[in-house]
Amino acid sequence: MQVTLDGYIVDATGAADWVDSWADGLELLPQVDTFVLGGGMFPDYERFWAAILDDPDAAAEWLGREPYPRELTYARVAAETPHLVLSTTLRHVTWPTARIVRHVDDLHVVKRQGGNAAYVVGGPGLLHSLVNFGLLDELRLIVHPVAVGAGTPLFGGVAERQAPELLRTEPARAGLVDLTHRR
Amino acid sequence: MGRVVISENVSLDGVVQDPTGEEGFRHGGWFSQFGERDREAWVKVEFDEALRAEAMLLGRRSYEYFAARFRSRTGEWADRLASMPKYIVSSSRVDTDWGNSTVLEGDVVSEVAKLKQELDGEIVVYASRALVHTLMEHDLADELRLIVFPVVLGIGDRLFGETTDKKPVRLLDSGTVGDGLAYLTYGLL
Repeated sequence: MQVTLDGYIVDATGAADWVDSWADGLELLPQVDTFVLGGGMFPDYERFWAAILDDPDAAAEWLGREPYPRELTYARVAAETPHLVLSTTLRHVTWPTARIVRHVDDLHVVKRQGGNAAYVVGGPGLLHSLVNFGLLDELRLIVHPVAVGAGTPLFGGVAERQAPELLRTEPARAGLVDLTHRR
Repeated sequence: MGRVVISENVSLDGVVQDPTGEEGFRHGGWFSQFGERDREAWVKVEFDEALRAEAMLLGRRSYEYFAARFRSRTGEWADRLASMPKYIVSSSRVDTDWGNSTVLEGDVVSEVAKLKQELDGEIVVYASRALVHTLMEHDLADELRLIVFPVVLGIGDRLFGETTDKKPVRLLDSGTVGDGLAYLTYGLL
């Protein structure tokens, strides 16, 4: 997940203009079997990545630049990898590999299957559910060098104190720090 | 010209409230979330910082908190903190019985700006959340040093206040303290 130094995932206007590319989260992971997402963010997510795949002009307009090669890679990987979308209200998804699940318990299945990592793309509601239900094993944060003062805090809905263990802290390009904790 | 350095222990979600659990905050006591090796490394970082610093700048509550705990302590670190010049931002009376302590009674912003003019070297700010907000909001802080504890609280008073503008910072260094604590330093100006 990409987060500001003061712990927000989007600012008060709902924007995250400090994020260079939404593909960057995936780059922290070696091999992903499943993508897991919350229903709130999914409609935008599938529109965005579908545009990257099928309509580069629309994507370029959206981004204000040409898509990066790593974004094309993300879109291709995402198009081939199962997506589980946790939502009680979403009725319909168009992403070819996506499936809606209604309860966080349904995500236990992913963990029982074992294999490689399941990548939690976001958003905050899903993250809080995973943390609160004890389903999150590892948390990789990309910490951006900016304080935005207000917005949606990454950990706002965490109900109980969590005490993970620090695995790594690594500087990344452009003043970013990758912080990895595990449960 | 002095440099104001904000040096803080924070949770992974940026909370600074009641680290030792003495104030009755539901999630207080998160500071003890480290092992013996990390504690030794933490003490060394704090002690080295105190050795390098020229002065300390604190809010009244934080001053009283540290004074009550360090005044009677002995040892290199306690001695260093006792002898270091301490400036306390407060509009009410303060018992300045920790030694070498001066109360800044006027307008915080102009007092700190003046202090930066008068001193050379690092002016370190510990805890003092309200003061930190003021320093950040008025661009008086030069550097931010965060020791990030591996704990997520979900609620609690956070180090960063509601700033009016986005404030870009510059990563100076990142690493760990011991094995379990992340150490991030940023330039602010």
